[in-house]
Amino acid sequence: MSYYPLSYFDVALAAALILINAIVSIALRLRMERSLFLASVRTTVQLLLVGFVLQWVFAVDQWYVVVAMLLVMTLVAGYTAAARNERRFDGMWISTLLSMGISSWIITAYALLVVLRGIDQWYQPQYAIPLMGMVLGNTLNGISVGLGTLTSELALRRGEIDGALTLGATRYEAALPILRQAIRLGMTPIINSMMVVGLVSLPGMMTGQLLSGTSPIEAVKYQIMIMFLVASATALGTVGVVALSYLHLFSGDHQFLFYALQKKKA
Amino acid sequence: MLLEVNHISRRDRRTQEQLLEGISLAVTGGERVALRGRSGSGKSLLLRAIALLDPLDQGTVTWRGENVSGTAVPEFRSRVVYLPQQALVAEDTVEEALQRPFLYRSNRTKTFDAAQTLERLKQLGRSHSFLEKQTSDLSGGEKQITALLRALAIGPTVLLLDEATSALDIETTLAAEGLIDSWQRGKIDERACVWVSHDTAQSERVAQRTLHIEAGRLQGETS
Repeated sequence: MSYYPLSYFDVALAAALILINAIVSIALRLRMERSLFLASVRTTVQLLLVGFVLQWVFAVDQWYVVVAMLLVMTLVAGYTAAARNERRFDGMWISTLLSMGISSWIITAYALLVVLRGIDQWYQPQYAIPLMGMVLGNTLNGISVGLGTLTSELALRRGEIDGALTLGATRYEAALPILRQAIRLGMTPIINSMMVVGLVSLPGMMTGQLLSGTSPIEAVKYQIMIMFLVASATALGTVGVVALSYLHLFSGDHQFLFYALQKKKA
Repeated sequence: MLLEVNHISRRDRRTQEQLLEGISLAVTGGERVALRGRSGSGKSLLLRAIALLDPLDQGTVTWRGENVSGTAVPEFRSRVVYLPQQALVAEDTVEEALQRPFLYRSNRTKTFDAAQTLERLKQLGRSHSFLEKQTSDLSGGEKQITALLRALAIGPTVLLLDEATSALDIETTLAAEGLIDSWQRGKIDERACVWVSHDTAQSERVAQRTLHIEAGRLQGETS
């Protein structure tokens, strides 16, 4: 099977569809023209840039280039997971980066070294980069939701936590209901998408493989692998960020360090 | 000596304001101490500090001569119970709220004495049906009743009462004071309480000696 390569003119034909958004925005006075323009430019420029970088990484085909690329991806994902959080605390960045890094690297390593053990090189960019991208992108959501739930609930339920501590609860006993809630919410989106995958939408990676001419069953096998990689990395990452944050927000003397949990400066 | 506080100091981590400065005090079994001072003088913070609820910059708290820190803290807190003014009860019903502390490891050897709790409830003018109330429906005073019953149920040695009866009417306040009195008389040579109250009459009723605090420093003692 083969696929039809797009020319830049073909891409421009698709891009012309932005006019629909523009007309809607102008007709209904949504005042979204600026954002629409910016979003269109960013979509095009960012993807083209990534395309050139990937072309280069694929051409060089050296393990250290691939690893460097994966590191950059991990750092950006770690930053993004915490950047929008409403609250800050000392150790938030390191907790997020560590849980993002450890979970996604372990799971991607398992995929490259165990599941795909037949590939020529473990660092083959064709496998390593998209797999890491899928894993990071989803783990990011889990970590972001887990961290957000943990910090907002801790701030909201301060009295409840103090109440438990005053009656002899350990810091773990006092925090456990909130830790559980944060982990559960962090893992909910991936479980939801595992429930409906294929029924509601075809996942992006599988769509891509189908477009590039891969047979449906082959594409599905990859997609199933991806779903499990993503689910396990999300679980590890969410538990990781919740546990590390908990250790930063509760002292060894079983105190809840509420003052450490600061609102993000606007 | 039951409980000693040795030169504790604490600053606000953000503003660097001195919250508590060089406070030392000692409480022996059978004592009833009142802690008085103006709003913002550090009364609540001192009680919280005694229960080790906030990190201290300096100083120590000793329990029966031993320094309390780390893994010893939860069990210490199950003996030295801090009762806040705004008791927060998160469980579904009052009964669940009363039983919750017995799930904590430091209270595992204790058991919930339902009959005694009912007896105390009666003294506070409430019937058995109070136990089935949803905690979300409780008034401020009812929350204080629940918090007091819950603290007494785990059989503490020291109670740190921070305006713990402030939302109760006078009859119930007197009944609560009576409950605390009879709890203390249960083991008079061992049990003690420290009261923070804005109510001068209450301080005079319940305490044998009064400590005065101002701007985070102890100013002296009257009896």
